[in-house]
Amino acid sequence: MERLRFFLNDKPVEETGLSPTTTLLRYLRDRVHLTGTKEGCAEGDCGACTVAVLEHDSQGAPALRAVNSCLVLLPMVQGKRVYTVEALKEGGKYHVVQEMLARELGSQCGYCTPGIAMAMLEACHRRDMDEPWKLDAQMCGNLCRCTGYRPIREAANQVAGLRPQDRFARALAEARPEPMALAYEAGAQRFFTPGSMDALWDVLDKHPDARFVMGGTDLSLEVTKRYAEPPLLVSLEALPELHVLEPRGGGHRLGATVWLTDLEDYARVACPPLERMLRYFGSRQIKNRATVGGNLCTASPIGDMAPVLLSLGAEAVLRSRAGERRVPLEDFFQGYRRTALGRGEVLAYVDVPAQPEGARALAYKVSKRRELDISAVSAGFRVVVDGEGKVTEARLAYGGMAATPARARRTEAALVGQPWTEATVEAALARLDEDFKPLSDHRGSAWYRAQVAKNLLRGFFHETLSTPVPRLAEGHSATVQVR
Amino acid sequence: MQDVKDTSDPRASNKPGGEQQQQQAGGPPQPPQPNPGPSRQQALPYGIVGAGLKEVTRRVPEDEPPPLPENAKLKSIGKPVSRLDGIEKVTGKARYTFDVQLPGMLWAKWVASPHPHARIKSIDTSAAERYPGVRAIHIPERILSTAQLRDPKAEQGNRYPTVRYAGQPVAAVAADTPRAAEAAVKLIKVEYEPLPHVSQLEEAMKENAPRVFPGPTEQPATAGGGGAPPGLPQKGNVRGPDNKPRGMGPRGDVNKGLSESEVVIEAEYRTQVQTHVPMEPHGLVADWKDDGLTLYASTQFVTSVREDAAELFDLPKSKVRVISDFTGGGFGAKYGIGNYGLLAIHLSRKAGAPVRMILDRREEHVSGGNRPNSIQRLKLGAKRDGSLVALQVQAYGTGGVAGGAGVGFCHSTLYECPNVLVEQYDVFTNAGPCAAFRAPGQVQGIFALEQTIDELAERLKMDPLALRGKLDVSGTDDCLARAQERKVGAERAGWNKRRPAGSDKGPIKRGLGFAQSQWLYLVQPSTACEVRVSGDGSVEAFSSTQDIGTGTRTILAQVVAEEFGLRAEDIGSHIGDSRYPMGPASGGSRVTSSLTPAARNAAYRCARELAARLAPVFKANAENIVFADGKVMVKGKAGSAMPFREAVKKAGFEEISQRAERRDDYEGYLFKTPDMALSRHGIGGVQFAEVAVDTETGIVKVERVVAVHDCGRPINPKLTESQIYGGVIQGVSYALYEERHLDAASGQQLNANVDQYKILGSRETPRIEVILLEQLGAQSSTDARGVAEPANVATAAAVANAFYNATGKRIRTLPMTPANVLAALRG
Repeated sequence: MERLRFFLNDKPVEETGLSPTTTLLRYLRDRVHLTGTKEGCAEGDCGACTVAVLEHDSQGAPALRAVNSCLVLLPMVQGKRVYTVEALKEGGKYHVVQEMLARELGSQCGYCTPGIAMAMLEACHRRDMDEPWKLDAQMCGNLCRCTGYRPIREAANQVAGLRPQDRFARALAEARPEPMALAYEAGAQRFFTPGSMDALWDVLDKHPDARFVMGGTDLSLEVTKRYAEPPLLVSLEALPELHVLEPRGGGHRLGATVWLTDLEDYARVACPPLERMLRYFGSRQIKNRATVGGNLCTASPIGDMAPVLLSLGAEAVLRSRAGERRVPLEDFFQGYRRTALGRGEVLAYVDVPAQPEGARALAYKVSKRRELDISAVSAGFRVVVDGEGKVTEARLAYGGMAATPARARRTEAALVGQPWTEATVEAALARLDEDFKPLSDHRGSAWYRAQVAKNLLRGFFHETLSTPVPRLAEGHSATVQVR
Repeated sequence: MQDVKDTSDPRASNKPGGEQQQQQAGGPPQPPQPNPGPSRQQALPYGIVGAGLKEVTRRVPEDEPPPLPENAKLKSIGKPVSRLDGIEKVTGKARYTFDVQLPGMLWAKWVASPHPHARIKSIDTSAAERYPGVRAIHIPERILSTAQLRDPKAEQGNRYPTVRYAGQPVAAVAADTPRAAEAAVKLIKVEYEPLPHVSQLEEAMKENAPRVFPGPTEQPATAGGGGAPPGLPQKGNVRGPDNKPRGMGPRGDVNKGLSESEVVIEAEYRTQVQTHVPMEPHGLVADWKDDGLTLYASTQFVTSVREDAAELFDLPKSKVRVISDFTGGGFGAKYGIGNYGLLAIHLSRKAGAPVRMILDRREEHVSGGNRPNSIQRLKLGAKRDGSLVALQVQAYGTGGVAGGAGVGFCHSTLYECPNVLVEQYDVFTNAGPCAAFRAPGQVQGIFALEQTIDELAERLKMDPLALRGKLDVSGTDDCLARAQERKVGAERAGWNKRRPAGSDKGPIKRGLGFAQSQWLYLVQPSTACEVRVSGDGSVEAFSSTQDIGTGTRTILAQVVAEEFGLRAEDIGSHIGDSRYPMGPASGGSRVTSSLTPAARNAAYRCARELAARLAPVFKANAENIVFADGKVMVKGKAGSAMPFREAVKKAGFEEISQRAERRDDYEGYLFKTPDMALSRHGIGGVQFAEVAVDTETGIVKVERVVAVHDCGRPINPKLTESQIYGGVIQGVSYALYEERHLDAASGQQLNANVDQYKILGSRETPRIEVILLEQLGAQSSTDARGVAEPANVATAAAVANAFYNATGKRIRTLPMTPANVLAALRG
């Protein structure tokens, strides 16, 4: 039987007999008594449990990533290097992250502080901290209820991109993180990380009911909130075939297991509407663990990735031992939390086609907080306008308006063939009430959803008038001073 | 009467208390003269530093230290000293109750009722008892933190406590591992007889609504300002009216006043239920041993934990020790032992092992406390010149199964008005109990009152700031502070550039708003502090008080350091242990006001004793020995200076120690009990908010807040600013995002997490500019007051007034979610 093996604060660790759904957080606190890492919510929303994991980015280069240890199941760090707040102080010397936090009075009650220090550690070692908004994005996953955000951000600003010659720099230089295959069991529970597609098909032949998992940002909640003990999990992390991110035929192939952090970097130049949604999507810690495949396969009506991909005309590529099939994304969603995936089949890629000439495209998310919040309404729009100013194609996709992410077909039809003007948009919007009968819930009433859905299209018209595919214009937030 | 030269007679004022209240039967008794015993007449600095400091002469106890000058002339007090425990926090070494892991410790978990209202017919724990690793099971015989039946016989014949909210603990398990405890609670079979329930405020007010309690109830107060006044009438679920919140009001004849008014403003306001969401949930580790009980508590008041445990388990206090090294936030909700503590102690006694019982995030939301919601109807009558004639408020709110809903005391204390009638009612619902929350009631009340005052200003075409200048209650420290705060705040915020309401043409509309804040100046008279000097020159201070994040260790050290001419880092600052002299509760902004005078008094006496011991060493009189810059010297003889430690060693003693108490405020109090005294002066501030409202999506952004506050003498401006940032941010979070959603059908909270219960994150944090007044009130040996509440009080009101200035529409419902905003804009 295989053992769980990884490095904890540079020391090798081997474990057997632990349930494979033991979270990294519980392991740290209860098993090895490293209580510096705190639990605040046990669902990835507060960041108090943030630790750093040495990962590989989409190009295979080593990268230090801040993750919520409450969502990481132990087998997910097989072979990896995990660092906790206890690793920061080295040789009797406090880390610059610690010095700055203390100096700026970045703690009040201090309970959130270790998690904040670890989120700052990632910022400290990032090579791309070249714009102030990136600091916003880096730190938005850590809640502080005494709310010392300003001093926290000042401290983070001091350390971002410093890349000191510390133990982490040495690890980044030396380590070559590769996901490792694993077949682990304890008690009645099993966790497989197949190392090849054939190994995956073998597992699926034997266990057709196996559940797939990647970063666990959704599935782990069943463990931490409902105390579920899923008998068999299959991680797709060690399959290089699915971990692709590349231009393809003028469009893009997005591997199902690509971390969203990497996809966001890629999309900045390659696909601005997608980048905008990823900026809204969630915290750095979540994007460091969440994947396109995971987000689409949960088939939530309010999954943030679906509307923008629907609007861009994306196709899902499904693979099984028998081969490959392509499904337009609108057909991939078959009902509330139901997809077109058959037995023994995985979502391998999402192919985004080349965008037609004259396309105007953007994505929106309406929620209370911008990231780390569930959308009341989200939307992805693409309208193609020809040389005469007529609409030749319209794809208006919404989340939060129906049981699945869906296109507003009647509204689209009312646009096609018409001149792309404010009057056309206003006239077409009358049809949106026929497309959707949204529900009322605590995120918004039916009236509110219908109203905002219309306003988003109005906003889209204005925002794309001069620039067909606008980038997210973003200054830094008020709490960051530009250095 | 004390000799007060330039402050008015308290009884002539409208501020807290006043004549009417003292005449009423059942009102707080007339306080005795402050500080009986030998005294001296002492001249003290009085006023706002930099804005006309004067002198007053007051009667001061003979053994009080000489008055401190303004901060600029001090070495340690008033300096932005870094948090002494900052390093422990950034290294993860700071041990919270959540982190306590004792040898053989068991993990406890409770069974929560899925029903919001039910009788429990039977509980079968046999399967859970057999589960491997289970060491003890306990079924609670009583439920804490809720209102209690005035007549317990109103509900008889039940073996188990009636379930009154979904999430109420029913039974608890202690096991070797968390997993075993989680698995075992699932095996406890509970047979419920569901009863009709009601979870929505207005439903519960109806005459035929299901009764949450079968008879009238009482809700004891907590030191944090929770609880409800005793003896009020109760009809169905509606208890009240309370017409003198915190002993203030009513006055005059409000109907007569309204009939004499030339302008009447009338409106209804609604605020939501907010939960505390401390990052560290409520919890306790109990270690029951034959020779005594040790409790590790995440608490705002070590003393209250010891008192509860001693009382409920019939133990002498000497057998109960409470330790609280670090508390991960509290905001008013962490008093006493709570149900988790009650269960942990029982389980520890049964299992003969330490037991850790800490709530998870869902349990914390549901049962850890909350700020009650409100429906407030205000009627304000005024003359055309702006003077107020009448203010009538009717308010209903629900704190679930606990009393304590209300809208504060601001209506009687903020503005001059001869006729005031506030009637506030508690409405019980089948929902988790409320608890004190960073200015209980006052936040809700000011949200409505300050919008009403703005409406009046607009109706009379007066500047809102000028109107408030006319209306401020006069003759108190507050009035002095508020005038100065408006002046400097308006300048900083650019008030003179404020545009008429609804000036922007595009979909994004911007505006600037203003509101005033006020809270009580409270003191805990039972506060004491001990200061020791060891023969090696170590100086230590001891108080049982705790630090919930405000920086208590640091300010304690700063005050003591000042007397010895040392740095704060040189002082051993020991808190969070019930074995130390009694310290104040971290609630109601009373730690700094209570602890620092006691600490200074002890340090002063200890320093004088040390001087006497050093006198022979220096061959000088004790009164000529001075401590400065880490040295001891003879006054006027720089050449005699010797490093502090070196000098102390020469004195040749093992240890000297002095203990001192918090003396009464020199001017006395409005009223005083052994654990709380209330000044007629308050603390407060003003806030200006700039907002941007997206009228297409309904998203509101608060872009900038200018917060000008007073807190007496700031002991550490950096820590004080931190608290003000925190208060503002919590206020913005309350204004925009936070709201508990209960499902009416099931009584379950739909967002008992931080995924859907949204609190403000760092990106949404506005630019916050803090201006801090140094105001000396000539009341105590440090003249320091707290600051926690006021920073939170005015924010939502300032944001709402800015919303009006941006859009030309009033938003009278909180929170300002996109949906509520679009609804307000439509209206």
